[in-house]
Amino acid sequence: MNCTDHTKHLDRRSFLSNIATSAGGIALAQLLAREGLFAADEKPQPIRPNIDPGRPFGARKPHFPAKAEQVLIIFCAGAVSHLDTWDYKPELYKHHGKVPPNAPKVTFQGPIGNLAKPFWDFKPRGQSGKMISDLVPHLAELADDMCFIHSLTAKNSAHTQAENLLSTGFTFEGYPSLGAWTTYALGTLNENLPSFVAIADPRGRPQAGPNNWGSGFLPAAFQGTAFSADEPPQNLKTAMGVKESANKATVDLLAKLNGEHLEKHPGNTDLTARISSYELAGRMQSSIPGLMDIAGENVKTLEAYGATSSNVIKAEYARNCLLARRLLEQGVRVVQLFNGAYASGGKLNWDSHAEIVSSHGAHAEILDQPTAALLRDLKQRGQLDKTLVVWCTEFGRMPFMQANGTGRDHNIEGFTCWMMGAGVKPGISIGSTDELGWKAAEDVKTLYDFNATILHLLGLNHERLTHYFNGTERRLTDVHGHVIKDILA
Amino acid sequence: MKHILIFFTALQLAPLAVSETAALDFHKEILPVLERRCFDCHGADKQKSGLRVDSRAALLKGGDFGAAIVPGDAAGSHLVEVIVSSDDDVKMPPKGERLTIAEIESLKKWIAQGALWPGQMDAVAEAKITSSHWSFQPLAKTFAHDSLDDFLGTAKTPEADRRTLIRRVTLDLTGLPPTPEEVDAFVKDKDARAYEKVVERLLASKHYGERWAQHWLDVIRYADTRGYEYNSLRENTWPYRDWVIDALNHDLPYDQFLFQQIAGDTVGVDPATGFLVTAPLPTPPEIGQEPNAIKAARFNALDEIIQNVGASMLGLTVGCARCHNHKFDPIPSRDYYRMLSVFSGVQYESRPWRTSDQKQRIDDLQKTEARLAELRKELKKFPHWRDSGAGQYSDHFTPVKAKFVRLTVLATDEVNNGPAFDEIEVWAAEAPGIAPLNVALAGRGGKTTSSGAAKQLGSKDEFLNDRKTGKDSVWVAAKRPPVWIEVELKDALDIDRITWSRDQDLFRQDPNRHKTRLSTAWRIDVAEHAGEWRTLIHESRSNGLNVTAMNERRYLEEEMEKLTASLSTLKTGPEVFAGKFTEPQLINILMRGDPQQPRDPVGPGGLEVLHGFELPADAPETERRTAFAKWLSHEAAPLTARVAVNRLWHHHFGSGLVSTPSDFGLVGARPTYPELLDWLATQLITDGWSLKKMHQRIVMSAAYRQSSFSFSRKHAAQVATTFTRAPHRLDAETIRDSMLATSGQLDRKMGGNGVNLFTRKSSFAQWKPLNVPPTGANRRMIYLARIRGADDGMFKTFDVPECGQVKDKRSDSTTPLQALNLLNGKFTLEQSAALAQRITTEAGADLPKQITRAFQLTLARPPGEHELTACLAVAQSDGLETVCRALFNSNEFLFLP
Repeated sequence: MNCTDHTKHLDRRSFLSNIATSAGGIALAQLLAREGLFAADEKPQPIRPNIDPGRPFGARKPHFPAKAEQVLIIFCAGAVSHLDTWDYKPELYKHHGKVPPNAPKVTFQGPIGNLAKPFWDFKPRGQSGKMISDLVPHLAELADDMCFIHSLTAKNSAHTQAENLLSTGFTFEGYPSLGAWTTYALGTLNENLPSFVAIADPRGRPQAGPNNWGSGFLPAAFQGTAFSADEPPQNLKTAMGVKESANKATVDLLAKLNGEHLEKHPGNTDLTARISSYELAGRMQSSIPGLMDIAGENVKTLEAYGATSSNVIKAEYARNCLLARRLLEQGVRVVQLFNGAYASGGKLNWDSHAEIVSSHGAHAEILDQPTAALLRDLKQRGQLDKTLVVWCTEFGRMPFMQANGTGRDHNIEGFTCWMMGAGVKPGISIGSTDELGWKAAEDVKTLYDFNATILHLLGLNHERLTHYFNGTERRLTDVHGHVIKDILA
Repeated sequence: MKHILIFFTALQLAPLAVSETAALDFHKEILPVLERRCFDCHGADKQKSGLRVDSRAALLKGGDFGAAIVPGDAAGSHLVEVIVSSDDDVKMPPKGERLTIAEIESLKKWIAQGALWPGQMDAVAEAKITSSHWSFQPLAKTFAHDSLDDFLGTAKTPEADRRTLIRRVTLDLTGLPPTPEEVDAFVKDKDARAYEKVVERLLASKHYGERWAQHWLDVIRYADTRGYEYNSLRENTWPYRDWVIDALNHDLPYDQFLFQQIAGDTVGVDPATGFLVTAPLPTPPEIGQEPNAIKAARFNALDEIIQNVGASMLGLTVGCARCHNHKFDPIPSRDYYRMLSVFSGVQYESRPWRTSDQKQRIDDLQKTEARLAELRKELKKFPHWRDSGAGQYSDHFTPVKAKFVRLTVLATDEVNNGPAFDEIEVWAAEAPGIAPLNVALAGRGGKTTSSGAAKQLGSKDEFLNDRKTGKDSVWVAAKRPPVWIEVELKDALDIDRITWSRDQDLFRQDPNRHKTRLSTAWRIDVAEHAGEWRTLIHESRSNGLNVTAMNERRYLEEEMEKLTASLSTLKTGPEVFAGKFTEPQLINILMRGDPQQPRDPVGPGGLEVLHGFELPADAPETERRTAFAKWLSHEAAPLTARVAVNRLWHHHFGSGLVSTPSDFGLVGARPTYPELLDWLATQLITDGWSLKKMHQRIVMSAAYRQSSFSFSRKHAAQVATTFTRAPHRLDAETIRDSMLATSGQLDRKMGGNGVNLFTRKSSFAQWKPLNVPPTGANRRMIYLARIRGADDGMFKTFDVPECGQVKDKRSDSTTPLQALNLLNGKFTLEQSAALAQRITTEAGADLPKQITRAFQLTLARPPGEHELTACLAVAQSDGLETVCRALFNSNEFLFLP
């Protein structure tokens, strides 16, 4: 039985034979029945993407028709306090300063302090009257487009493990990211650009770093390409000192050498795939610089995004937002836009263990206006009709202070993320935390559910998008996850 | 192996039967409940969580989480726990109506009364685990053929031309291309053994180990950083990497190769156990302070060891049995936790490395420590003895009750200065319920006074008992001896030791400089009540001892002083990150893998289906690993040998006879040619587990030497057997090392600390390539520090493993980003320039000769006519380095022919 050998995706022979022999699950079931040792549960059969090695990124059909063709993931690293942004808890005002009931002495970072009300005022927003805080006034204006999930739960209180869980479905290292799974399944809409782009925050990479856009055990082809407005993809251009004529001569000579070589190995598709990868590289070299040049944007747009802000980090994040819009417009399948970098005592990301007022305040100033401008722009250009937007953070924060009295510790038992755009009901909220905003209480959802829903919105069945690795068919949602049907438009 | 047979006797039943009320009618009150509520999922048809409840033996045996019932103990029975639970993850039945209170009470009563099941009271738990799965069977005993070529049939296609052949076998065995001279010699060699000689030369080359070690390191995700957020460097990992290279180069028999990685410390090979601790792991700040999280992290760390052992050695996904019995393979959770128990003493830490010259030192250290312990024991028979080594001076004495302690210094080593102390400790005697404790500390109520501190030097009496050492907290006497220091304890209590030090920090820095203001003669007085002093230790230290006894004591004390002084030198020595072995922790089966839900305790053992050994739960740490390591190459040998030869086959042919090299279980692929696999495994064992002989057998075969090879035959049991050996893209290491070798820049130095091409911006996982490469940057890639997650801007896109999860085979993707890196990367441009320089030097001024040399170096052949013409034109217009750059990007250079 050879059905489990799926590592050679980009191999032409298996591509061609795949069509005939993709009945792996049946063979497995027979095997199990014959062995008779353990009863096999009836499992959904894997759907293998049929990848042409000559065009590994060629667009592939989803498992079922879906509105969302592309996805933008806005990832706030460090854990945004849901209690100071999206999850309004009037009870917290009443109990402000009191000892939290039934609380452990110690949470992730150490001893706990007293309950604390939100540090920013909440106001009703939009038609829906959704209560959102003044920390994010620009985003709050889009309340009617947002679909909130207030009852999310995570599995591990440490940033890296939790970011891994959010991005890959496992707390451990080395599993494929959502973007990798998506492009593995769907390819991309514009092969002249990378299929999956990870735009790092101007201040650095998030804590789980490249795990967030890694390919894990999927072929490296599906890892995200890291670049941002101010940092082009590596090696797009030749290092200084090489003349353009030399570049052209190299490529032309290479084509000749490869052509001669191919004549000795007619029909070897691994070789032809390699030849076409150089042609594709050439097209990327001509298309990306134009995409990164925002000089063409009018001043009004630049101002709307905050790209002219005197806050240089905000201005650069705003340029990243502009880049995200352009990438989506050009058909990039997955864009992951980071806001917040690595652990730094809350200075470079949202991890406000102390001085939450200044720390969250500074990060929101960077996030709010540019992100809101991006979303408005996408909507106005009709891009939201086919793009799913996901705003996420690895977990929430506690309703009580830490012993220092100025910051909130990690909270994995209840927090908020939201979505908008293609396939999502606008202006609704589902699930809730308890009255203190501590633990998810109603309609409790896991990050597996969250990721299952994202895949579903992209037309992918999270139980059938699998890859055999280390003894089992692995998937983004491990062995969990239910699509959150309530939010589907 | 031993099986626990569970019988239930009337004798055990008797007292319970008395304590409970009237007997139940099993057939009326119990069986119908089980039938109605449980059998659907836990009966003959289905066994969810591996549990059946349709017989008494099955209930006793239990499922994934241990026994379902404990006769006589209803509250301690898992069955009761789940029928009363309201937790959605635990409660049974999971859906539908709960059991009625009456039903629950009946079941509880039934269990409490001994779980009487008429007619089944002598039934024993189900027989041992067996499997008919191919990989668990013994190796075949007889074979239809006795050579690889016979197994594969006679050669059908012609042998590859010699240039192709030598390029193939050299890249394959050493990861480096052949030199033009090696190619020439082989092409011209008329000897019938010409190829064989090449193979022998390559297998004897040190580069063989460098190449094949990487394949092994891939599987167990060896890297030089910790991974996760901090991802900081792990010091002293490299000795393990070097050990693997060396073991392969010396053809260490594969059974020993396995043994040493599990228990090398028992045979004096410390780096080998680095195998156990290669996984990425979060550091304590990344785990947090919640006790449950800390516990879970420890189980994760142990699980990583099981992942390594299972994937690399057993070719099994044992880790799947962590949360439930393995869904496919005959590996119950119990086996997983038995394996966990084997390794439960392993900590991810460094330990002293007993290199050959260090071995003596470690032995000396151990002997010294043992002798010191003996000396302490012997000295205890004296009413008083003194221990004066390592900058601390301790007077030990028979316990005495005291509240006041005074140390009077009568002389120092300097005539003109008074003594100094950084700390004085008074130790409460150890007694039942009382741990020895320094009760002089201010924090414990001790108060210090003295004959006078040197105030002009900033000295204070409080410095004597503030727990701080070093020059900022040293008490200095205001005048010359005699002077005294005194401690008043919080309460009068039994004490048995007084320890003081002059300046511990200074002593550590320089024991000689420490010899100033050092007390050389003193007396100790104690009082239970204020003013009622009595001398505890006289200056003469006679304390009523006769001269003989005092002499005996002096000899012992002197020996002790000498040994103590030598300790610190003996202790410092090289360390290796190869695991620290500590007292094993008691392992329970964990329900759903959750440390908060421990079930039956288990002892260390091997997999039952492979006749695994079983040790008692309190077996010593070393014994566990030793037993496991032996089991691997004995009872488990059919499997480990199959896994080993398949791994070699996989790398030589591009895919294995079993295409899932680390999963020989039921979900894994079946062998395409089982007889051949068994024959190879048998040969491995017969050859004394020599890997080099196996390599030789494979690369000498006609199948390997043909220009391309494919084999296909009808099979009795299966549809068909096919496999091919076809050109495939070189991996990242081989591309990089080959570029360096051909450009003449390869630094062939072996071993040592990994060369780090990255710098860490700030304190977290922000590794960036250095702009200026450090010394050693041109060594083979295996000697570069492997930084988890770091992108070198060149080779990461070529499927270099992320080193998070085990990796038995790399994919070989083809992407435009690879093309961009290899075309435009700084590394390519540098090596192109270096190659251009090299060929200019080696081939003289003639341009066609230079180009010919470039082809010979990179492709092991001269250029064809068209190629030469095209290259000449480019060399003239854009320089030789442009030709070299194209050659490095060419398919021919990048593919294993």
